[in-house]
Amino acid sequence: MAAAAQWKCGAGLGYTRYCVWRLLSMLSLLLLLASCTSIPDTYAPPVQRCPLRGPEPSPVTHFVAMNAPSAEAHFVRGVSPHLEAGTWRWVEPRAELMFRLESKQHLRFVMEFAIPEVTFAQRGPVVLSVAINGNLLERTRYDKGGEYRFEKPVPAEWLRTDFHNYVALEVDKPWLAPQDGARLGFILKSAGFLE
Amino acid sequence: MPQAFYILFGALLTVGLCLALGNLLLRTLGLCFRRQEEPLFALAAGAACLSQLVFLAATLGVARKGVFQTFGLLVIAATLWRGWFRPSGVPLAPLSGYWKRLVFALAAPFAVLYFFNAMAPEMSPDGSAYHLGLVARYLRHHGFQPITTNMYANLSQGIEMLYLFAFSIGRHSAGALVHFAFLIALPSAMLAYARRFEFAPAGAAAALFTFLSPVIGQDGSTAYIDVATAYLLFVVFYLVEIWDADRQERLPALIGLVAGFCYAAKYTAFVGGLYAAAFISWKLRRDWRALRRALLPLLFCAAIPVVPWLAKNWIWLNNPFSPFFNRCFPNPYVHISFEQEYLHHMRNYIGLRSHWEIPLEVTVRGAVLCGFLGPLFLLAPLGLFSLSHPAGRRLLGAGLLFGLPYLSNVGTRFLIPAVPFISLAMGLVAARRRWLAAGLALAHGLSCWPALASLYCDPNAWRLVRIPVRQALRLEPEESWLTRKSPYYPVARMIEDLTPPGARILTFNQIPDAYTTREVLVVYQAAFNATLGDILWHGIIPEYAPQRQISFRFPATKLAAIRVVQCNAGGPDHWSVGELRVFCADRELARRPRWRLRAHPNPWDVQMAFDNSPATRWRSWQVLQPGMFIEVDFGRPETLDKVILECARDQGRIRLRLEGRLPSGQWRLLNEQPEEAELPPPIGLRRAALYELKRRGVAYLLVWDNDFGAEDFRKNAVVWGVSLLGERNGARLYRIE
Repeated sequence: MAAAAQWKCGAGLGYTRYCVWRLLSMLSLLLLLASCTSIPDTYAPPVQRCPLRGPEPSPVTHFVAMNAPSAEAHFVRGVSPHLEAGTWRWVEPRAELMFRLESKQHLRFVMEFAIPEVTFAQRGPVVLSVAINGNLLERTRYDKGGEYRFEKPVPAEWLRTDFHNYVALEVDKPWLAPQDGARLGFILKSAGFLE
Repeated sequence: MPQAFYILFGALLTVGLCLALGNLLLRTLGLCFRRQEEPLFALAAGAACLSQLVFLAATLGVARKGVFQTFGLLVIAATLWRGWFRPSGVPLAPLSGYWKRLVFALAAPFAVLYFFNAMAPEMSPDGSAYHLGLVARYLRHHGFQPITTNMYANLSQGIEMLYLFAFSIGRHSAGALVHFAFLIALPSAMLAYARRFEFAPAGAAAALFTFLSPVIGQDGSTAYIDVATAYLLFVVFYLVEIWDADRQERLPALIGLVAGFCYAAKYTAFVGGLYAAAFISWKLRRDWRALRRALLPLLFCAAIPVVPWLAKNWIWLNNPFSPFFNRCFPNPYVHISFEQEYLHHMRNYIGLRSHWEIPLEVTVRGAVLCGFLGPLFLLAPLGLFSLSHPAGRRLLGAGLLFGLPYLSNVGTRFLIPAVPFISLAMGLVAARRRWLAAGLALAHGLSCWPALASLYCDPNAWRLVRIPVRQALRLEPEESWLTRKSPYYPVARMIEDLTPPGARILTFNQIPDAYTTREVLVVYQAAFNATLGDILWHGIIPEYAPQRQISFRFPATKLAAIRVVQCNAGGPDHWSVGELRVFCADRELARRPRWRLRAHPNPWDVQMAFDNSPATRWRSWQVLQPGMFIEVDFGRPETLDKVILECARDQGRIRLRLEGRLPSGQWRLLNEQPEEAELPPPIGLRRAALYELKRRGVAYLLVWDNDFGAEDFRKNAVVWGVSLLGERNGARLYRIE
């Protein structure tokens, strides 16, 4: 009340040192308090979007790079156990890999591979066939050496989620390595199913 | 023309109420001004009062047309009845007939140009996006509501409160017309100032330099706020000059109110208060008692318009200065990285190759920096010769201070607050020869008229190009004009037509929010939106996928908590963690409700590293700093021997170590040389990303054809799980199924 009484002085709107100081102090205090934010300290784990991997996650996944630690778990036959230059492996004229899928919809089979130029001198153009679970996905002719990326959508009905999916890779003509006469197909860097 | 009537009525009622409240305040304070000055100061003071009252109404949830209209009419009627609109002061020295004729001849056509453009349907980028977009939202809700998804809502909105009043009656164009009133008031105040201090010809020339400038005309005839802010800053300067001349005891209170309202109008205008306080302190430095008598009311009254905006942000956003100073006031609503990038972009506009291009860009070209002042301002250095005049020194000092915020944003309109001062300084020099001042004003007028300006400015320069009389009077329907002229308006209407009320739409670029009632989340406008964008891009950017596995192995140990600490420093990398998993004997420990998760910085998103979703990640949202961490407290000791992080590959510079807390409470280093491996690209990222968006209440996406990833949405709509609802002007609206 005292402050209110002091507030009105003279004819117009007045002010006093007392109330001005008091209000300024309150405002300063408010500004200082503004720096005390209510940041929560900790949080509980949220709702899990999908199950955890379980006690022993399968090393077989939907895609494999040849230098992945679990790469060999995907090889059924025809893929060299030796990793070359840290990134690629030779495959035989017929090789087979397996993959595990959690869904079948909207998937493409993707493969990064290379056919060395030197092999063409001996065997000429090659035809590479890709079959998935026994279904022929594509047969492609390659006339020159180089790095390639194969990519093609896979019908969902060819795939399964309850068991492994097998991919067979086959070239029509082998290349005989001059050093040891090994029958080789091409160089594989990665393969698997992607969206 | 009922619509045109409501537009004019809304604007006139708002401006009239400002004048009424201002006159009431000036008379209550018993201040004495010259006749021509009274309405100018009443406008500034009344605008501050009305803005505060509208803020109060919005806080109380009574921001309604009926409330505003009734209050406005009652106050104006009372003011008319008491005769307070009639100026009572001594008139200023008259302007010579020569200058009167010149000012009228040059200003009148531009005033017509500006008026009809202000009254035409509003389609300015920021005006229709957020200045009026937020106003429309407040009106729909009859007041403020906590908005954490649009950083523009965090800025002070003192002028927008006036627009809210006008908008409630006359909608968008009424808001723009209120700004137009300030556009008229600014050169009038410059002229009055020059007449009071006896250099009227210089003032007349300067008023023309400012008023005819294309960027000022363009800005002032839209629902932007820059010209109104410049007016308020000039009024602060003008009042300080009057105080210096006659030392009216109650003048500092008015100066404080207007200076505080400068901050309420625009953050960068805080310099107005700084100028007033510094000037008065300097002048009274030898008289401590007088200084206290002047400074205390100034600061107190300045706080009145400032504090409500600080308090609003403090209460809702934990940061009184949001969206800035987020390091000092950490909060979940604006990322520190955004603030840094935003400030960087504002200093370096796209297309600006060098800062040496700025002078030509802001005076002649006008495309890259959005607007131009006119070639006359290439002669701005001439203003330095006014340093020989006492007023020139003060004008240049104030202009320099008010122009300082330009360093933070090099857009041309950020020069507007300094333009009146530069103009007056130039006018002081030019007026030494009457023919020179008049010649410059004439040349400026000719060079700034739209038809002639188009001969030299960039075709894409932001400027007015015609007088849209038919559209202003609504002889052509608003819908038709906006559809023809604005590429964004049809997009806003598409959203309105094809989504249900309450829908949330995520997009990458701002749209005219003022023309839709739906909530549009623009990815860069808030932390929440940026996180949504980050999630969405998981489906498009391979580097965002959690393909980098970082494993910490250590002898099996009973631990109460673990902490992964980041030890490197520097940008541009952010640290992020897709998933943090803990193992014992190759068995992952299920996440228990008793676990407690912590992170620094950005503690609010830590759960995203523990949700088992490949499309989400905890992210620091600031560049690498030593000491960043993620911590898990298990609630009770657990035996562990391995911790795995699944991370994105966009953070090559991170360096991590693992620490564990023993049951005794002691922290111990467990491993600082983790093993790394690459995981296969996950399947289903697109759908996982959209699932996360839906969990956060977003059911629609608006993707422009030139947006990053737009082609992927078109080609892989089925894979994403979206269906196309509609397409307008290159923007596609998708519904998330």
